[in-house]
This record gives sequence, structure tokens and C-alpha cells, in this order.
Amino acid sequence: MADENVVEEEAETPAATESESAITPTELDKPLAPPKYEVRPSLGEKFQSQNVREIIVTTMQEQLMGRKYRSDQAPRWTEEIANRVRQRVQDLDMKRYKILVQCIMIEMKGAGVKCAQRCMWDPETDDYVGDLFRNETIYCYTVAYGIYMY
Amino acid sequence: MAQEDDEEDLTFNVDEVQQIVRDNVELCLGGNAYSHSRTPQWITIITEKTLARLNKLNKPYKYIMRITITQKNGSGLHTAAAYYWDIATDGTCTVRWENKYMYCIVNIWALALQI
Repeated sequence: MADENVVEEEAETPAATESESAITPTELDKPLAPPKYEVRPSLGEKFQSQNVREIIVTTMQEQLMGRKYRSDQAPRWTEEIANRVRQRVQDLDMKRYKILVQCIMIEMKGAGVKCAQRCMWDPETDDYVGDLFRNETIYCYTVAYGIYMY
Repeated sequence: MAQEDDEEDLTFNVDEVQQIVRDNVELCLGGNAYSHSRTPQWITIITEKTLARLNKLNKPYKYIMRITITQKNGSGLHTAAAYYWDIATDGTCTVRWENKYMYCIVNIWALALQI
């Protein structure tokens, strides 16, 4: 078609020729790599809930096993746990996933607590994993969310 | 131009969202005392109202909302969060509200859709 011819003439830059081989012939190409429009992660690339759960459980146990709640140390502990979990989940290298980790630590003093969450997302691609660590003085819940970026 | 509109749409407006959340929490919890049996109801009301209003803002975002309601008991509570996201477009908003009997902490995370 006439339109396609015009575009091909414009795109005679070296970058364009490299990207041509990566895309199907019917797509128009620009100097930048063309978007792939993959709106779903493929089978091996979904959010790895079980692995993330293991990461959360082991990190909390490493950091909190045998410790008592201390109000001066607790902020540091929560930050460390959140950062470590996030680093390890990033190392799993799940492509196109944004990661969110929240760690919440409560002193066991008999206070009643209720937590809830609601999400507005795509349940086929996005997921979350949360787990609990408890001992006599500490109640720690860490949750990790994985959001797919279209 | 359409592109300018998109750029405006793609920043997370923290103040607006804080106001929405504060209004809803105030409306629902007001001067009530902590009650372990009524809290699930309150949480449902707060979350549904807030998410509905966030959706009406019509922005290209996915939202995660987390609420914690604690009785005032002298016990300590600490929260930390770590993110791996796009700092230009994604954002977080935390609202802390209290009355004589309880604390309410609401976290909202907004993650941009790249359209």
C-alpha cells in the first residue's frame, strides 16, 4: 500500500534495520524498539507466589527469631525486613512486575487489631502473598504485592 | 493537546487522595469506641467508599488499599514498606487518624498503567 512504502523509505536508519528483524513484517517500525503489546505474562513469568512466601517466612525468621519487642529497635527491624524481602523478590527477576512490600510489627499487649485490604487490579496478572511471624512479644505481618506493568 | 492531558493524569495527587480517605474514615468511625465485632463492617464501608471515589477520579491507575484499626492500649506498632516501581508515576498515600479509643491507619498505593 502507498502508506507502507512511505514509512519504509523514512526508516532507513541503522537502528530501524536492527529492529526490523525482531518484529513481524506487517508492523511499522520507528528508530526506537517497537512495543510488544504483551498484556499477559506468559506461563513461566507469572508472579511466583510460593517462592515469595518462602522469602518472606525465612527473612522474618532470620531477623526476629529469639528477639523481644523493643520500641527503639522496632523501626529498624521493620525497615530491614522490608528492604531485604524486596531485594530478594527482585532477585527472582520476574519480568515487568512492580514490587511492593509492607512489614507491620505490633507489640503483643492485648490490643485488638483488625487489618483489611482491597485492591483494584487485574486478578489474572497481579497477586499478593502475606505471612505472619509470632512470638510472645512480637506480632509481625509482611505482605508482598506484585503488579504487572502493561 | 492530548499528550499534555495524559501527563497531567499520570501523576498521583496525594492531597486529593488524603482528603478523600480522611472524609470517609471520619464519616465511618467518628466518635465510636473500638469494637472487635463491628470493625469488619466499618472496614468494608471505608474501603468500598474510598475505592469507589478513587475510581471516579478516572485515572489510569491500579490501586491497593490497606487498613489497620488498632485499639488504644499502649502497645507499640511499627510499619515499614519498600517498593520497586516507577517513581515518576506511581505513588503512595498514608493517612493516620485517631480518636480516644482507637487508631486507624490507611495506606493507599497507586501504580500506573502504561498505556
